[in-house]
Amino acid sequence: MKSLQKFCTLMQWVRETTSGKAALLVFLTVVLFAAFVWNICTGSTALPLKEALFAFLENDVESSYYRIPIYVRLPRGVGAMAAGAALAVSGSILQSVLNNALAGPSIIGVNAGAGFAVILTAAVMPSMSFFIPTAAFAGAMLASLLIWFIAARTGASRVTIILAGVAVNTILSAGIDTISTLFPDVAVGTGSFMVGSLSGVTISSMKFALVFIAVGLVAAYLLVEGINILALGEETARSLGMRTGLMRFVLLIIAAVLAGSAVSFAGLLGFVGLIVPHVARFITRGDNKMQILVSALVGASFVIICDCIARVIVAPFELSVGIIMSFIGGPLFIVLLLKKRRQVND
Amino acid sequence: MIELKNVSAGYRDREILHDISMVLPEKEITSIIGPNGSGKSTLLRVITSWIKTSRGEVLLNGKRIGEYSPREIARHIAILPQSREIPVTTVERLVSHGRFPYLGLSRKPTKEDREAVNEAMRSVGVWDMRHRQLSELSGGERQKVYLAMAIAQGTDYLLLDEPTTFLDISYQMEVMSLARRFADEGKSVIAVLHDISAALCISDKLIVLKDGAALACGTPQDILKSNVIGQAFGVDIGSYQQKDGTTGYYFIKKK
Repeated sequence: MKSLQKFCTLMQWVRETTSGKAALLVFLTVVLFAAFVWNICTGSTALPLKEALFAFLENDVESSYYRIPIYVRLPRGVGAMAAGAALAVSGSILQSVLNNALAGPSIIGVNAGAGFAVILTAAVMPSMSFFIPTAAFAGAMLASLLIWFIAARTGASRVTIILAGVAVNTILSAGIDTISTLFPDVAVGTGSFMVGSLSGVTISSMKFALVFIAVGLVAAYLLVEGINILALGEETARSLGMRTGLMRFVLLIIAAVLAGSAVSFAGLLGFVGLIVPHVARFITRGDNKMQILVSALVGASFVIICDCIARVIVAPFELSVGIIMSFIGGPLFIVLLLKKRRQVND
Repeated sequence: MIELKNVSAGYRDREILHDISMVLPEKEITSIIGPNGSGKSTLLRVITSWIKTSRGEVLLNGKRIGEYSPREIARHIAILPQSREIPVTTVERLVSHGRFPYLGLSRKPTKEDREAVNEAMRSVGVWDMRHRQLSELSGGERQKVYLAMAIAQGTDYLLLDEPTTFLDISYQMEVMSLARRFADEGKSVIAVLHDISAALCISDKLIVLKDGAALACGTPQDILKSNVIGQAFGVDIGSYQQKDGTTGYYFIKKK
């Protein structure tokens, strides 16, 4: 009972005071940094940090202690961080824009839209890999707009939006399966792509996506007041002079850019865009500025930690990060739901 | 000044309001009453330009309302809609959103904005609960917080869409007495009310709507004399002297 009281006091301090918020951000940044270091040292070849640092400082380019971290694990860590942050912030935005706590990019077909476009591009234009992030964004955008259109046109209830999203998801997944069947040699390797994997990513293969993600994250942070106002509901937002249709559209584009960019190199990573915004909301309780920052940091840490576990849990084999994320994320989400329900009942 | 000139409006192919012309009374409480579906809420939405007119025009200070941007309108007219979310936020943060129409691109509130928010919270009586979560409050307390947000907008007009619905009698009286005070302080309060008795007691002017047409606009005494309420609702109105000397009203359905 005492520890619960202490926890509540701590959460109140974190939520309501500037020093608490700053401490939370510093703590999450430290966790992310530690996860990134773990990512450098972990894998089928164990890399003691001291040796890796030594090889790096000596510029010993022939040493595997130099080559593995720089050419394999650094890009992989950067990719994991970027994908995690992008999908988590995308989920946060979607949940606000569609006013629906179940609206994650993997649930309502945004990821599948991006995935379909990526597979299609890889199948019909295999030489134009540089086009993949743009195609992923376009696919994510089209799927988002379709859901938005259904929501706006029908005045659909929250459940209907999710069901419509699930239907869109199913159609696009069928499209992905069709292309995979017709083009078995498709370049992106559909098996790991479908569950989400960071195996083999390089800085050059994700450089466009990284730029899109950086722009998307900054834009999301700058438009956070718009998200705050939208969270008040359509009519109240309009009463305050917001062009709600335009704001929802702009935010939807940002969410699609973020999700599409992440999917373009990390595949269909599920759950992170659904769970992390809930975790962030649990911590921040409605401060959307903090919600975006915490989502980005927790999302980045979550994917990078899951990727490390995926590499060591059945070593020397490697699981796709998406599998680990589902195994950890699923139960975590259920715990969160139970906790929320208990709060409501209390 | 808000003036409606031969306004007809509605949703898609269904016209709700027909040929309404009036100048909204200023610095008073004006209640809009009428049977369900008579177009009361639609009238508020036309005034705020949420619904475009199919014929006629709405003028705000002599200029067509469509020529104002939504933010400019929000600096002149605050509206408390009927249906609202319960966002996860604190009272103070919610009230501070009332300054949204004034914020620049950086969205940073100025000292003046912060003072307006504090003043609004004190004025409505939610200052002591400013750090509490909105979800922890009762329906009546939440209504006052939203009212404080509308006051923080610093507008000349305050539009209330059924502000007392779902509130217990104590909060109904508190909300209406706040509306009275705001009108006395110089705001033009326009309220859609279902409670005709309350509307007759508290309003300076009444607008009676039926089937999208304005049957009458006048003081409660004029409206009572004309028996327009009886026509609109199909009821007979009786009155009685209350203990405090004020007049109460009761209604009997016409046979």
